[in-house]
Amino acid sequence: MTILGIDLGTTNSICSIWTDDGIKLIQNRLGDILTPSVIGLDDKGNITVGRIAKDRLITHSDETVAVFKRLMGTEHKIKIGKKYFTATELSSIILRSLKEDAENFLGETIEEAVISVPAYFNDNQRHATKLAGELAGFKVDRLINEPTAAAMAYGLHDKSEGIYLILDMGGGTFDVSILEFFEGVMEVHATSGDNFLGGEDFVEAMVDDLLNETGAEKDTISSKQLQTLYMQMETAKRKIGSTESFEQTIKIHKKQFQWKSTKAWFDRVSMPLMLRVKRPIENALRDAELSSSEIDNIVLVGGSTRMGLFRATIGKLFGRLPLCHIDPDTVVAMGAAIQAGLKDKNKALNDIVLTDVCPYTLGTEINNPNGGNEGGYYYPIIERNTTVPTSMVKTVQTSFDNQTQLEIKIFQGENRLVKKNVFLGEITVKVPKGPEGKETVDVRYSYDMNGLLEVDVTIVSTGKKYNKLIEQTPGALSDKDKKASLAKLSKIKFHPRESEENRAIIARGERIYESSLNEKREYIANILAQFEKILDKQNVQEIKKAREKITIILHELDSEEWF
Amino acid sequence: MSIWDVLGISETSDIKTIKRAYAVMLKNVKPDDDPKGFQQLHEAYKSAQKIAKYSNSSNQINDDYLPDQSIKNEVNVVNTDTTSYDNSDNNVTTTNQINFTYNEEIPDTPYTPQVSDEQLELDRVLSLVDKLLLDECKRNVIKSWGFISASTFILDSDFNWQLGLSILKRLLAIDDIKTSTLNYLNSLFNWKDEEEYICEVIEDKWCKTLLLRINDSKQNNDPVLHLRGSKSIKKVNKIQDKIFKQYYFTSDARRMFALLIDLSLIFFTIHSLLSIYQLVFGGVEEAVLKKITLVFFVILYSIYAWSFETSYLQSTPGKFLLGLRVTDKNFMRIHHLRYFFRLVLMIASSFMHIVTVFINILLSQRYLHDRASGTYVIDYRRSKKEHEEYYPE
Repeated sequence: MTILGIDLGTTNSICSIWTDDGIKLIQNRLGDILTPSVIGLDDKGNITVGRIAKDRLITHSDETVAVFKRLMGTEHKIKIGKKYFTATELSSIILRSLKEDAENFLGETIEEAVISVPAYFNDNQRHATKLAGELAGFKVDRLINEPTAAAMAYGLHDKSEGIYLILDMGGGTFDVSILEFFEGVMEVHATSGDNFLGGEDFVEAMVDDLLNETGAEKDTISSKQLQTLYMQMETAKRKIGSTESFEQTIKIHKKQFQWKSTKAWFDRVSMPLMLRVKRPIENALRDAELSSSEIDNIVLVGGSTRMGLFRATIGKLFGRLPLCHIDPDTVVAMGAAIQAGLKDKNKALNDIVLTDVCPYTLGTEINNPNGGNEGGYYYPIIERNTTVPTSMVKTVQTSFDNQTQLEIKIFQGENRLVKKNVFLGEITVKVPKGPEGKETVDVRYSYDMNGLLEVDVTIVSTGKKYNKLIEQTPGALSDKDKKASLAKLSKIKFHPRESEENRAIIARGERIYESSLNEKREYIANILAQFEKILDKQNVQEIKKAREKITIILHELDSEEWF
Repeated sequence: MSIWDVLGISETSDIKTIKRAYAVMLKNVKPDDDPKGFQQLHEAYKSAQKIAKYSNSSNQINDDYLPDQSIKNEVNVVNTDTTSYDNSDNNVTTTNQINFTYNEEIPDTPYTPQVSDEQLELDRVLSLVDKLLLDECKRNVIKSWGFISASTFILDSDFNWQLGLSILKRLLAIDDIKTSTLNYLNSLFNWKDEEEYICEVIEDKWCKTLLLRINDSKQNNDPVLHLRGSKSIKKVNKIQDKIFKQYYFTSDARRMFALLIDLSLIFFTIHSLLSIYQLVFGGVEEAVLKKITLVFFVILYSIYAWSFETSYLQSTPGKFLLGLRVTDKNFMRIHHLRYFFRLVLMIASSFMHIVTVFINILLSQRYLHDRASGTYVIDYRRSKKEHEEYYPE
């Protein structure tokens, strides 16, 4: 039984498997490794996923959606076409599409998957990811932290022991992990991160500054123009790495002008974001009790670490060159495949043991420790960056005379006030009456490898035990909602696989048509019309020939780099 | 059992040996298979490492008393600082390493050369700031502040802090700084995070006012802002009712007022319909009209209350306006069958006029028909507000 390793990314998703010959990356229906995490509706109302949807983000932005990973674990609903979907449901659509591709590619059914999540995802977000997998028809026993996955890929690839600092900047999240590899043990020392820092933020900053300088309000621009602008800035961001400046024709409202993106401009716009890269690194080093000189290797993971500015900043901070010899786009998926192989108890991986940490502190609520009956203070039980699985016990006591019950509330976060942390659940326990502080209660938190928390409460005087497994966090779906989601998702129609490649060409052609002018535009329209004519004839050979030809033409015409 | 027994080795200060022993033992107690055994092993491993590190470092402290060692130390540090400052140097290969971790060695190193580099840069940037602040047209143009982010030392914590503080002091003397400019500078110097400390250091009463104006984009990260495509997004405010900390009933007066709104709404509808009927067809006797009104009233109210209170809203328009909700014992939507009971009981009890009112007031907040049918009318708005104050999203 093959287990699929999946990197469910903000911008791109990839899946791979562990075989006896090592890691194998899986091609999707269009023959690509990367499937853009974009979902849209086609003209017939069927769901399309990946490259077609991404091209249609420009031409049909109202029926398409991208960058929704940040909404995981929230209750926002996003409209495409006539229906509303949660981010979890959208992710499950991506996963389902990946599953189909993998099954088609491997010629067998796949029922189990290891899905990667940003190390700094909280409990709600992890549950949402797991649920997305289940909605897509996977059994998801294991989630793996993205930087850990990347480190596994590097550790296995290089076979060199030492302490690795992994910096993982993807489309939407930035993760830092410190990991040591020795004697077949992969030990994560500490994890930190910023869930609101990724490649998309750089593009956002560029767009904001451009609009600011042209004096245009973001809200007044049509979604088509705005999406085009995002695409153009993405291209500019990539080009600036290799050239000093890059010129584009920008259209805002009815105004059209030449815009020159220079390296100096990009650096200025990005500096606030680069400054935010520093803090998680400092936190991780402090938690791991290491200094920067004790780090043997710095590893860059995620597409955004390709940015020249990012590499220069890291170089400046550490005074040395980071490692990036494995493709930063696919390294997480490779690590997920290794974890899948581990899970499968694959012989080649028998000697490797992975230990991970919990990214956030877990605790309960107490009264002001400095006296007074004011509640709302946080009392950590499992400190962040403790190696999991772990089990910790702390004792709390009654806070006033003749108290008959205690509410043990469970929180996740770092703030000293509980209201700024994430609420996970609560247990109410009954205690015998007595003077203040006489009755004590042992609270035991057990945190397992998948980030599932179990809370045991024991009344010391009576020995009575209470137990709670935090599986259903507030805001998560109940069984009933889950069934409703499943029913909704089973009803949606996917675009037929066979014509996918042809549709991809037309979608791309339409997108280039949209951003081109005059003769070029006419030329593309012509080509597309011809291609559609050939498609109507339904001659397989002819279509294949035309497809090859048109792909080359479109590639030459396409001035954007955003895949 | 001592930690050394757990690791299966005799006491040692050699970290490599400890690591190897841990790795060997770990193969038998994998975290997946034996969480308890793993925790014990891992704790032993950590303690052993700490003990080893401590004994190694205490050796080193003794060594540090040797004069030649400390000289060697100094030479090392100077070596890393030999590169001279170069403004245009943005190259990755620069050896100008910036100490951004809290390096404990800093105090005993001769750091004079680096400080002077940074000091020079600080003076240079500040002179540019002074010049810019004099220029009334340009000082609120974000682009003109670009020289700050271009500074080579901007990523250095100390430099960043010093520069931020100096600029903030200068800004206090200027009264037309725009919020957008403040926001931009805050994104570089992170003032907002250290708000209280900064105000203590600067000792200016306007400092707090100035910092209050800043809108820290980092702190209110709305995930929706980053979504691409899609025409609309809605937030389903589906706080599960069960997790409300506490439920509040409502006052009798409020419930009566809600009822009054509903009843007058229905009465108005029936009355105007009947008046139109009377106008068009005419000839209905006053007494008959009264009876028809009553029958219609009961029927219409039943349909009205039923359809609203079992709906998603869980309240009639009158109750909704006053923030009330009708729920079952789990504070969820009422089942139709239960609602039928509630309705029958309500209509039945309402025929007892004054007696019912009297009993209901005595029952305080949970009325006869509520109790008999196992339903609750709660102050949803207040319950939700209290909940959100307690557990903000």
